[in-house]
Amino acid sequence: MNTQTATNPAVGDAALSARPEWLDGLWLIVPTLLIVIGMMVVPLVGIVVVSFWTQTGFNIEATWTLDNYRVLFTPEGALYRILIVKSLWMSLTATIAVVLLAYPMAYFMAFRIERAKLIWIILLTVPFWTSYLLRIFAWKVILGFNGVINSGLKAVGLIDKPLEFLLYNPTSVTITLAHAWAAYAVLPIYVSLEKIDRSYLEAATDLGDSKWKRFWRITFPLSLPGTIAAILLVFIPTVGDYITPTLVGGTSGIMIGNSIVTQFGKANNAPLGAALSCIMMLAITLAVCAFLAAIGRKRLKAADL
Amino acid sequence: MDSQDFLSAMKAGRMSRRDILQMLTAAGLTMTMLPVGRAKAAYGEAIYFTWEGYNDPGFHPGYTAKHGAEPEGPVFGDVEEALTKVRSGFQVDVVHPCNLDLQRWREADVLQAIDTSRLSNWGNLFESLKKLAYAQGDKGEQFFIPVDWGNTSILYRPDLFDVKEESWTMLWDERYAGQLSMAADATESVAIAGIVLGVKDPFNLTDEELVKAKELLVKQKPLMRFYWDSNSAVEQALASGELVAATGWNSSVVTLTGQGVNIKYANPKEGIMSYCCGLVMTKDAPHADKAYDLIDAMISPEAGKWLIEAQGYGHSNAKSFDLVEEKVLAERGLPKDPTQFFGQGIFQQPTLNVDKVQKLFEEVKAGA
Repeated sequence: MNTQTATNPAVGDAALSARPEWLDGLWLIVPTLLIVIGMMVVPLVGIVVVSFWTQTGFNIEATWTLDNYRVLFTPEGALYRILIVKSLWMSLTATIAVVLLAYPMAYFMAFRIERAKLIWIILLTVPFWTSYLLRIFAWKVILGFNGVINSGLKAVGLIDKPLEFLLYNPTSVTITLAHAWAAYAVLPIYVSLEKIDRSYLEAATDLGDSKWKRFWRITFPLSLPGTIAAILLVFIPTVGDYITPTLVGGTSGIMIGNSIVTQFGKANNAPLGAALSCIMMLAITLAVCAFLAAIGRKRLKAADL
Repeated sequence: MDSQDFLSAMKAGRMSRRDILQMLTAAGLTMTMLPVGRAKAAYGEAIYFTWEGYNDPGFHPGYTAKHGAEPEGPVFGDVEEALTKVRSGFQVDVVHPCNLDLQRWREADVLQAIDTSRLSNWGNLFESLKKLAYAQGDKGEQFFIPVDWGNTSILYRPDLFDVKEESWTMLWDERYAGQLSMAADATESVAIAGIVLGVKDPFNLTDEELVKAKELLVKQKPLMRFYWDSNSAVEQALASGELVAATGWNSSVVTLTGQGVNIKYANPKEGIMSYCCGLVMTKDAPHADKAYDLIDAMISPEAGKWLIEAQGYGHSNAKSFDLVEEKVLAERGLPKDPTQFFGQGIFQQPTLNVDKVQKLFEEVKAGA
């Protein structure tokens, strides 16, 4: 917007050119910035502050203490440690499942569809036009005692009693999450596959690479940015999910999110809930950092992430 | 600046950017501060915050007749959650807690005393229910208007569950692993464990008893299909045969029998649990007048007749029982006097160490 003044300070009036360029940029992002501050930074700071307070009966006592965090490292806090590890593990499984499912879908769209790609993309997102809750309920119907799978198998005569392991366990949570987040994984992978210069592939073939070798030497490395983005996009939000475990998790499928909700509701201990949230954010950050470190900086740079 | 001045100034080009910004800011602030919410609250219907399934019009026929509309009915699945919501500013007029929750609601200081002279049906209510623990304040002022009373017991399918003797231990029967369920309610689950252990006061366990109760619940967990948080979930699962036994309330018996499901309501040898629920009014109830109409409608004999016939619960108004046939009462297992009813089993009492019990149940659920 202000390129002229910036590139040629002699032109334009003195007052304008004296104003630093970043200030003009700042004005542009003020609306967004206000929303981010109001809706994210303030509540986040609130969570951190409350996590250092204590709940006594019905009141929150505003004296600084580390007790909420200390609890997590005592035998009493074993419950939360188990839940945190379990949640990270369940999300990781769900993320791997999502990416393994999404990659072939994205590949198909990027390389096999010639015409009307937009229609395919829209078709892919159709299930996501309904609410998240409805999708979970749909899975409850599919996996349920008298659900689609059970009644189907019964009709064919493969089983005479409904399979009970389908619903209300960690696996059913993973299955539901894997479907619910599929679109978030397909789209970024698709974009990075679509960007690949087709002449590289031709060159590889010309130089004698088999299809399989060509995929691992060219297509896969170049699709890494999208794949990494997909992994992060799915992993981070699913760790804190609590509504999916509530509906399809049964007695054994609960996650840390459920425990945090309980602290703010039934258990009436907002400071402990806040501390748990902070620990969880920290744990996710560490997990993501570890993941990025494992991929390696060099590779990331090469992938231009 | 009035609109005429404003327009002419605009025309003449005498408005500076600052003036316009000033006007816009003023307009924006006025718009956001207009008491839209409050105006709506003052003219709307009474807000009745109740258990899922309890906002049926049948509960309060008199209210609809008088105001031509239903009260607004947000629902909760867990009463402690409801209390947290009300404390954090959720505006409602009337809430529907039960006798064992009353202490918490009173201590949270969110209730106002109810002027019983404004309730035409007050005189016909059972005296024993008016004086339940924490229903009245120190000076005899009334905080709790009793409405419905009933049981918590085990609903089971006699065709699928082979019972030797009806007992709370049915919920620990390993033959039916994965086909049993209990409510996701900490105090109730711990109380049931206490009853099975045979403790003196299942609603206030000592520390050693709590340890044993936890062991018992941990042992039970793999047998549970899920911990339920809405009675419709339990009814559906019992009807399909997914569950063969689960804790539940009287209304489920009526509902399931009505659907043709073979269901029995256990009378455990250790004693059936009973409770009384009723209405309280919040301190800053936005529609206090309509709230009185709602309360009065809910304790009327007509409402009681419906409650007994359609839901299978007992009612607080003695006159309701005269409107119902003896046969129906016998079918529902309801005596004409609640004191007799409460005497038969284990009457639910307030739990003092709720936090400990809550944490214990969380640990059981998380598998720690």
